Amino acid sequence: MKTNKVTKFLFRKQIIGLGEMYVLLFAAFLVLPFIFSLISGSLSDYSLADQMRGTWVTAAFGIYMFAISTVSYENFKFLIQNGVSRPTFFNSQIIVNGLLILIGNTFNLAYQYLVLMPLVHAKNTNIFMSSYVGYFHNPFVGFIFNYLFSGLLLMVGALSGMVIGNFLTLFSKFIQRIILIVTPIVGYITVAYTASRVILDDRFQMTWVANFAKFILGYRSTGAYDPFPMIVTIVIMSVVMLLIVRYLFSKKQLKRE
Amino acid sequence: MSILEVSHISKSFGSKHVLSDINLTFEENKIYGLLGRNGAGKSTLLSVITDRNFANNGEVKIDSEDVRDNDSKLGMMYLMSEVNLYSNGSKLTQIIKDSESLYGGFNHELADRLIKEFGLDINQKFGKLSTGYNSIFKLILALCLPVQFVLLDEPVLGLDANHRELFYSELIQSYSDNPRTFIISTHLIEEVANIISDVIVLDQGRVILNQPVEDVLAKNHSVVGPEKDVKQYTKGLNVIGHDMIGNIRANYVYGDLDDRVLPDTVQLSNFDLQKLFIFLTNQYEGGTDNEDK
Amino acid sequence: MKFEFNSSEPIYRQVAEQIEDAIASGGFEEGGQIPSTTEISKEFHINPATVLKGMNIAVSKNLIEKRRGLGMFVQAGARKRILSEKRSDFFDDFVENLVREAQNLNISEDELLALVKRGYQQ
Repeated sequence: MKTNKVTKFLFRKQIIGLGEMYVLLFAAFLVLPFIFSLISGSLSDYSLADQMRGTWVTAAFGIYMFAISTVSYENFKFLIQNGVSRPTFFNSQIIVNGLLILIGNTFNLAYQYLVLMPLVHAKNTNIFMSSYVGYFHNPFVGFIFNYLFSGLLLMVGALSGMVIGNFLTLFSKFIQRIILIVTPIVGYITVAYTASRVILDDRFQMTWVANFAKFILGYRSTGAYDPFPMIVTIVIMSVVMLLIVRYLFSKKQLKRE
Repeated sequence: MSILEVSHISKSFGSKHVLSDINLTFEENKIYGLLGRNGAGKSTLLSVITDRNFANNGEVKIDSEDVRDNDSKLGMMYLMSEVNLYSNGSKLTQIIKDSESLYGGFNHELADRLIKEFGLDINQKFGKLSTGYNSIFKLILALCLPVQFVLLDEPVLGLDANHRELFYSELIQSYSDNPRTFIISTHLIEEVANIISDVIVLDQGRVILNQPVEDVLAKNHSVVGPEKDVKQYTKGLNVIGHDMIGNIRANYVYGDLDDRVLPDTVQLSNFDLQKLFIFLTNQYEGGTDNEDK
Repeated sequence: MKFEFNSSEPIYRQVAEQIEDAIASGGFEEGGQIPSTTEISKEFHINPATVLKGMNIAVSKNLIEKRRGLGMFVQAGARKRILSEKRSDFFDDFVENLVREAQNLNISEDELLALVKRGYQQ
C-alpha cells in the first residue's frame, strides 16, 4: 500500500544524486584535465577523445549504487519514524534501483553509441562489445543484447553494493571502520597467496578452475564468445544476492548512538 | 476502537535486562503517563512498540494484529523521541511534506498556528535547530500527523517554562478537538500529574504500577502524628515511606486502610503522585520491617 | 474561579467545589455561561475527562446545565441552593472543629461564646 509513496520518496532523493554524480564525473574527467592543460600550457596534449574514453560511466554508476546502499540507514531512520515497515522499504528500494539501472544503462549506452564510438572510432567500448558482440550477426540484435547485458552487469554491481552496504549498516560506526580496514587487508593477503600458489603451480593451468572460468565466460574453441552462460550466471548471482539483501533489510534496527 | 497491547516483551543488551516481561494495554482516547527514572527502560519500550528495535521476546499488537513489519499498524503510531531520525540537511518544510505523504495526512491549520505560537522558523534545516526547537518541531509533527497513538518520549526536553506551558495547553486542545491515545514518557511528574488519566511506573525494566491516576491517589494516605501512635495505626499496612521531624512521624501508606479507629493525635491526608513515584522507585526498605519491631 | 489545586483531594471533586464557590461568590452569575471543559483543562493542565467529571457533579446538583451547542450555564437559583447547603454543612465543617480546638486549649463554653461575640463586633 505504502510501496508507491516510499518508491516516489526514494526515487526523488536518489535520481537527484545520480544526476549530480554524472555532472561531477564529467567535471572531473573532462573539464578538470582541460583546465589543468590550459594552466600548464600543454593544451596541445589534451585530447577530448582520450579523456572521454577514460570516463568510466558504467563503473561510476556501479559505485553510485554502492554508495546509496551504504547510506540506506539514513533512509531507514526516516522511514521507520514515519511508520514504514522494513519489507516495504526493501520492495521500494529494489523498484527504485531497477528504475535507476534502466535510466543509467540507457544513458551509458547512449553515451557509448552516440558520443564515444563516433568520436574515438572504437568498437570495444565495454565488456560486451569487446567479447560478445561478434556472436550476433545482426547488429540490431547485438545492440539489444548489449543493452540487456550491460543492464544485468549494473544489476549485479548494484546488488553487490547493496549486500556490502546493507551488511555494514547493521553495525555501529566503529565496527564499520574496523571491517572496512580489515577486510581489504585480509582479502589482499588471501588473493596474493592463492595467486602465487596458482601461478607457481603449473598443474593449475589446465584444471577444472580454468575450464569452469572458460565455461562461464562462454569461450568456444572457435575463438568466439557465447554470452548466454554469462547471462545465466549473472541472473543466478543476482537472485542469490537479492535474497541476501532482503534478509539484511529485515534485520535493520535503530542503532544506539 | 483501537487498542495497543504489549505482551511479554523482554529485551536485553548483552547480559543487562532492559525490559523484563512487560505487559500493558493502552486503550483508546486515554492519556497515559509512562514514568520511570533514567535508565528504567522507558525509551527502549517505546522503541520496541514502534518496531524501531526488536525485542528478544513478546509481541506488540494493535487490534490483535502484530505491528512488526506491518505498514498499516505502524502508520497508526508516531513516536517523538530524543533520537533524531531526520537527517540534518533536510529542510523542515521538506520533512513535513514527506511525513504528510507517508502518513497520508497532516493538519496544516493546527501546524501553522503552532509554528506561529512557538515562533519556529520553518525555512531552516533540521540540523540547525536548537535543542528546544528540535523538540518543538517534532512535537508539532506528533500533534499534526493523523495517528491514533501519539507516543511522546520526554516531550518538553530543552523547552523553557513558557514553551512548556504552551505545549501542555496545546496538547489538551489537540486532544479535546481530536481525541486519541497519548503515551507520555517523562520524569517531570508534577507537570503531567493532572493531565494523565493513567499512570504506568517502570522500574529497572519492570512495570511496578499500572492504574488510573484517580485510583492511585485514592490509595495514597499519609498518616502524621506522634511516632508511637503512627506506628501503631499503620502496623501491617503497606508503608512505602516515611518522614521524621523530632518525634512527629509521617508514614506514607499505599493501599486501602482498614476500619481501625484513628487516634485523635493522628491526622490522615493524601499525598501526590510525585511522592508516590519517589517512594516506589527508591526501593524503600525499612517501612513494614521497622514497624514489626 | 481561583483554582488552586492541592493533592489532598481528588481533582474532579476540587473542580466541582471550585465551580460551586465561584457561583456562591457571584464570580459565575446565574444564567451566565461558565468556561468550557477544554478551557478549564487548558488553563490548569487537567485532563478534560477529570474536568468533565467535576462538571457533571455540579450538573447533577442542578447548579449548572448544558445547553446543546452553546456550553454550560449557571442555573437559576443555583446560588441560593449552594448557600443553603453550605449553611447546613456549617456545623459539621466549622463548629465541630472550633469546639474541639477550644477544648484542646481549655477554652470554656462561655469564653468561646464571648470570643464569637467579639468576632461579630469587629
